[in-house]
Amino acid sequence: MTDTTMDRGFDARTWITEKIFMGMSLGDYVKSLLTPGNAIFALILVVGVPIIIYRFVFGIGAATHLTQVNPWGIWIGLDVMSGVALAAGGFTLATAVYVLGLEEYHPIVRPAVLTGFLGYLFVVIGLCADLGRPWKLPVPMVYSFGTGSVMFEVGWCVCLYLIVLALEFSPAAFEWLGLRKAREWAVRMTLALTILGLCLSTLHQSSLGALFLMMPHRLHPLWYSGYVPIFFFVSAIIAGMSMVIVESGLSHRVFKSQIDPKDHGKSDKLTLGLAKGAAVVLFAYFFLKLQGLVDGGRFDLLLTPYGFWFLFEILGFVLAPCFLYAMAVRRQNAAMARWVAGWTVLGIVVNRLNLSVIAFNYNAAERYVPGFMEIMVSVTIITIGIMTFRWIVNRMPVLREHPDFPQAH
Amino acid sequence: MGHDLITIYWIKALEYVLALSYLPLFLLFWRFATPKRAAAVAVHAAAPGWADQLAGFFQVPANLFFHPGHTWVRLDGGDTVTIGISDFAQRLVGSLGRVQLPAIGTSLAQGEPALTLDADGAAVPMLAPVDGTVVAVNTGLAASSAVVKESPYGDGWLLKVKSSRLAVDLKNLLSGSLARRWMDTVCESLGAEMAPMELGKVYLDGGHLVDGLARSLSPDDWDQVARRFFLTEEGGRHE
Repeated sequence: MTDTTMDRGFDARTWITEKIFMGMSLGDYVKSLLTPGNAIFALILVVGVPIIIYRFVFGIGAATHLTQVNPWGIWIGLDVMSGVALAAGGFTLATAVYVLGLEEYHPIVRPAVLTGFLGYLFVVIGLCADLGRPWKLPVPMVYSFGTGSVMFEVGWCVCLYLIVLALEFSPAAFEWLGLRKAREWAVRMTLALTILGLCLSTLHQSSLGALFLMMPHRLHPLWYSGYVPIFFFVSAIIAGMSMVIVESGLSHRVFKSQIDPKDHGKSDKLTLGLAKGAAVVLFAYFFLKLQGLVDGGRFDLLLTPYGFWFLFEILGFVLAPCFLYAMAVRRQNAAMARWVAGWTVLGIVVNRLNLSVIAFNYNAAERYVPGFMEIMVSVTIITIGIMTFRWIVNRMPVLREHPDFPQAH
Repeated sequence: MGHDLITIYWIKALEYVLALSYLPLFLLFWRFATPKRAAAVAVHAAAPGWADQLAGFFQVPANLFFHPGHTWVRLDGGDTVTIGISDFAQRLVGSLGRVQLPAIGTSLAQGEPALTLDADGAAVPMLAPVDGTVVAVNTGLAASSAVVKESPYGDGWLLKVKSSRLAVDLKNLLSGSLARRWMDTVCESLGAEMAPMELGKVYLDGGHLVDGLARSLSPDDWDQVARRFFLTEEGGRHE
């Protein structure tokens, strides 16, 4: 079979109708968008997009509560730090399938890679919202080589990993476009890209934690540890697996008609497999956190308000999901595993916010509290990310096989 | 403070305890997180297997002793026992007409015909599960044998027997897990008879078990089918 775009005269109108409007006329397509969910999305965009424009026009001080004392807010804590952790499902699943040979997880690799790709893309967009001058992004990577700087390494890693994820996802895009030869080349690169992605992820996931190593005076002693880079990397694996469980659970509901019928029944089994993996890693992570606590030696701080919050994070968002995952696997209850995954994802977000916002500058006279505009910008970025995911899944062979490329999924 | 291997201070000790305890605790956690074998067995059993599918329809109480001819014994204390027919037996035969019971004072021998089930003009004998002398019969059955179907292990009891060789006789009977495994084997045989040859093994997808299974299998010779299961076929018994 030849590339479908080349074997006949290219008709833009037909192409747009087929590929963009999914076979519907413009009128029908617009009518199909009139749903309550889209109304909520539209409301968020109507409020959020002008705020983003306002931020770029009037500056960060006008749109946020950030100051010289508190330079990091929820755009860093939520959009960047949490976003990078939650996008780790891409490298985790790709490694499991293509390196470790766990072929049974193949049906969920593409959605995981897409989640990872969009996750990282919108992390960069969120970072641009924080930096305010997106054209300055290449500066620490190219113009001002700071090889001693963690930011230099994070910048390069995220940039390269974004390219890797785009290439890993490209087979699905080429199948959608009917570019068979391009798709074959992209598929041949899969193993190399997976290994590269694993290396890059290990680097930047831990490096984001390493950023805090140079801030012992700013970060609360209970959260500060020489093991922070390891905590970040291990918790990223947990975040990735949990996010894949959440995403696949939601996709099976929202995109039910898209899922290959033969994959419907496998979903629970895959969910429980990921849940068991997450439980094991959470168990190890709990012991690592205990090790960090013992190494720090600041048990006296456990009986303070910050101490209670730290204990809540460790017990409620690490130990509890660890055992709840294990219980779900023991009872073969996939629904329970999905709820626990949602709780675990929340726990990762709480952990990243604790490090970058809540327990950060804990002893400063002025504390940071996010403003409405900051929250709306974060919500808007996340909403656009979800809408992009939906757009791609509705059109490209992510949850289903492309009829011209069977068994590629 | 110097890091001296000999000088143990409590934080280092805690770290060592954490490191050493991790592996044994992880092994315990792994066992907890691994689904129980019963679940794995249940998954295996969910595959088409007649014994597993049918066994669930028949009650096999753990406190009773079963003769392979589908009569049961309940210990009443001392050397007196109560005897009845199994849930499988009453389902196999279906609607009962009359249950012919031996008179009080009759001597029974284990493995010999002791009572007869009458239905639809046919008589199906059943074997005595123990040796002994009949000391009581269920007089309620004279009016109606429906109670045998409704409560084969309760109010549907048939005889009370005083046994002189109870300990020895009980060794020939099945109880607990052995009885359940025996019932599985019986169901295998029943399933083999129920599945049409041309279809081979088929999977049940719910429903209720038909009463009078023997009649469903063979409307004309249902009594022969029943005798086969009750080990009272003419020409000899099978173990």
